[in-house]
Amino acid sequence: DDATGQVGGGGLDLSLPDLSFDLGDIGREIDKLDLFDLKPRKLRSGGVRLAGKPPRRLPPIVVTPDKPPKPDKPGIGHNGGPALEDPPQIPRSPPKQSKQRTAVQRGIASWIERALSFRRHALVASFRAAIEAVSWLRQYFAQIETYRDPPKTLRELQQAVGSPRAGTQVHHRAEKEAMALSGFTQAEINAPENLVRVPTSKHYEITGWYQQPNEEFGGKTPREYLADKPLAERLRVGNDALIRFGVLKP
Amino acid sequence: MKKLNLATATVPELADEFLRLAIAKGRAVMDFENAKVKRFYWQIDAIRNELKTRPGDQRRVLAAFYRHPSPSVRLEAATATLVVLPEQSRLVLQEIVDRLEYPFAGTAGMRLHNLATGFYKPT
Repeated sequence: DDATGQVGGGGLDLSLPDLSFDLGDIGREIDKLDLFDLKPRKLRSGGVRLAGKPPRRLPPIVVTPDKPPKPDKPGIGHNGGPALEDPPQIPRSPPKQSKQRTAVQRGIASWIERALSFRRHALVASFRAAIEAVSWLRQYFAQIETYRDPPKTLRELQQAVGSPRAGTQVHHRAEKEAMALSGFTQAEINAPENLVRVPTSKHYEITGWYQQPNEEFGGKTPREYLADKPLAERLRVGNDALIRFGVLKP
Repeated sequence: MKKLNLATATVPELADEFLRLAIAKGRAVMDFENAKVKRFYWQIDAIRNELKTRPGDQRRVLAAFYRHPSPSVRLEAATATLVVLPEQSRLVLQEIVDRLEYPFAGTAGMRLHNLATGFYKPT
């Protein structure tokens, strides 16, 4: 489980090597996980059972290789915390509701990120092969990939607003619904300094956080808390959220 | 399911109900079902408050869930025990952050930050 998947060269984004290696025990472990509610065909030579037509060629889910932890700094799981959970179940047919489809792809992206932090690169590779066979997920590949974008500076996030990129969306640092409720103008809400480009799935997570009751705000949602706050406080909370959800560099 | 009478429930019963709700809340968070999240939040809050009133402040029993597989359960258990087990609960929150268990890691990270700055003072 510790294959790095690195194919050499510089830069952060490196494609996985050819996946047609014998997964051996890992392939059998994937089979046991019962990822899909379908009956697989005979075992492929690659070791991963797939049902239906062979996958089309798709943009790769790039895997950023992990550096091994420094000897004096334990890696994830070293403290004996819960082990990496099994990969999420993947519906063969797309869920009817958009938010359900979003939840599935977000769950996939989140699991891949954690699995890589556990250095389970080979497991990620076989999971990737499995999800590539699910046709309805292909439209979400960009979102799955951008979920693992490293945190960026505020300047980088702001400059990216003018450069559309698949799997990303423009986000308002001071939450736009809260600003609108408080009577801010559209010009103020959409001012360039208030806009950043973020991974789509992270955008969903942050937006969800704004709408959920929170102990730190006395049981109010962050959106409710900010309803009567000045812009400076809105930006403070907004920036904190971007940092804690792994989008903005501290 | 018969609704639990919090005032007459035993501490283990309250803990079991807390666990059930924390799991359900986590599922609602992952499914973007905010109306359910809100409902579960207040139900969990009621159990926290009931445990607090029990002799010796029985919120500490929720430390039993510090190693639960669900990050939502660990987040709720840590949050509920910030006063009675300040050091251990913060370690649990930090672990959720370190394990990248989003979106719960985002909430846990915010909570730790707001604790550190004094913006959030649990009672």
